[in-house]
Amino acid sequence: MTSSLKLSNRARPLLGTIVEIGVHTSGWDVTHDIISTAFNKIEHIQSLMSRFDDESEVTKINRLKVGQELVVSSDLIRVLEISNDISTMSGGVFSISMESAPNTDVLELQTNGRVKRLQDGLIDLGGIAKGYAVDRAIDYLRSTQVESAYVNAGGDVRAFGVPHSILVRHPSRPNKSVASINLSDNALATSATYFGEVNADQSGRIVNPMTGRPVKSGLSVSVMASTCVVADALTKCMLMLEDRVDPILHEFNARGFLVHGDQVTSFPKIIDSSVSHAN
Amino acid sequence: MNDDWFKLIGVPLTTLVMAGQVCAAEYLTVEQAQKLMFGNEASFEQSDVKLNRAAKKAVEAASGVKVERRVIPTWKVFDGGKLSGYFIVDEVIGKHDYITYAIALTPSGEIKQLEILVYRENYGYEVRNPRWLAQFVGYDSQTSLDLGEEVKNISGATMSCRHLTEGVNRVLATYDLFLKT
Repeated sequence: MTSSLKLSNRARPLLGTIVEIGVHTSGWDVTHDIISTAFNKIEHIQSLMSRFDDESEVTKINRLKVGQELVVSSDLIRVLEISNDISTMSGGVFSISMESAPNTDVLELQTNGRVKRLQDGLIDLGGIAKGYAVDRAIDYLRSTQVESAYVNAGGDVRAFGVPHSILVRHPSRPNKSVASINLSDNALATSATYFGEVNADQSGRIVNPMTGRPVKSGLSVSVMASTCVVADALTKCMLMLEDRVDPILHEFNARGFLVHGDQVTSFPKIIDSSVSHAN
Repeated sequence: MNDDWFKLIGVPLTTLVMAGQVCAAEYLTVEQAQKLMFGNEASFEQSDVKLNRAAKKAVEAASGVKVERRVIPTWKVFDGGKLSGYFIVDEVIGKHDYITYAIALTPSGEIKQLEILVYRENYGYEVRNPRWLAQFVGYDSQTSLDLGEEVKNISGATMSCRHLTEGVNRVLATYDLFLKT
């Protein structure tokens, strides 16, 4: 990687957060066309998977009555497949159902891109679709002449090319970092409930379906994996399963750490010698 | 495999601009954003919208958002002698500091593009929000943007996003009242 490469970065409000895309190239115009197209890839996923968009596929699924079917995009099928796998592996802790039912009780994936509703209840892909959108933007950027790039959707980061240094915020001291990670050709997702950022009575963005209660605040988990969709989903599993997340991390060749107060615990705790570094 | 993939490091985030993460960044200048949104051929005629007290109240009533600045930097954009849209620079407060962004509108007031110019957030690295934001592009002043009924556990980037949504609603109301022809 030569030092003559220039970083161009831009940011837009998307996916309910600020999405930043940065690329290394030599030409201004070319770069900006590329960045615009990468943002379009993210917008496209948002338009399919946002629960707040009346035209999205997720909204259409949410309108299905029990027994009804709908043909959906291959992107949505892919996200549902991955989330089904993780839902099963996590014993239902990870779920796209807002009623916390196991995924496969709510929707059935059929052939030819059809989904069938099995029971009532809204679905929300907020725990996984953001990572998927980041992956699609990265896929596109890799297909261009860009040699190095990153996409950061409010804490879901994926990069390739030159190593990108990421600092993770301390969950109880928000103006300090707690750890640094070098990303190159992989993804890091951080999920946290920061102190001092919520009212005590509404700390629960992430609800543990086992208890129906919000995950305690002041916790931060980060997961590194080869794709952002997996890293994104596994942060939720780790917040809720803690020690019991190890088999899932092994399955995806992922690893993570949890910060609570000044204590940092890395996972998986039991090292499987057959597992190599993710990418 | 061991724990060497991450390093424990406690540094103040206020002093760093970090690659791969939104912290404090200048993304585009006004000129770069203008070219990006309307192309190299377009010409820009600055005609700022200035709100007197009554106008400020009217925008606040129409958008439901408080107006902090009475002068809104606005450019009429022409391409081949024809009005091709409006370019407006606005600011909203993020979680702690101002975010400057640019909106490109079509002549009929639809959002063509939105780009963040400067993001001065100190507390940068952010958590996800399970609520999704309605897409900006294609909205006009008739469709009020809303983040969702109950936004919980708001982080810096998410808070910024919410304030951007409010800013966009305020800009669209300003267009409706003072730019629309």
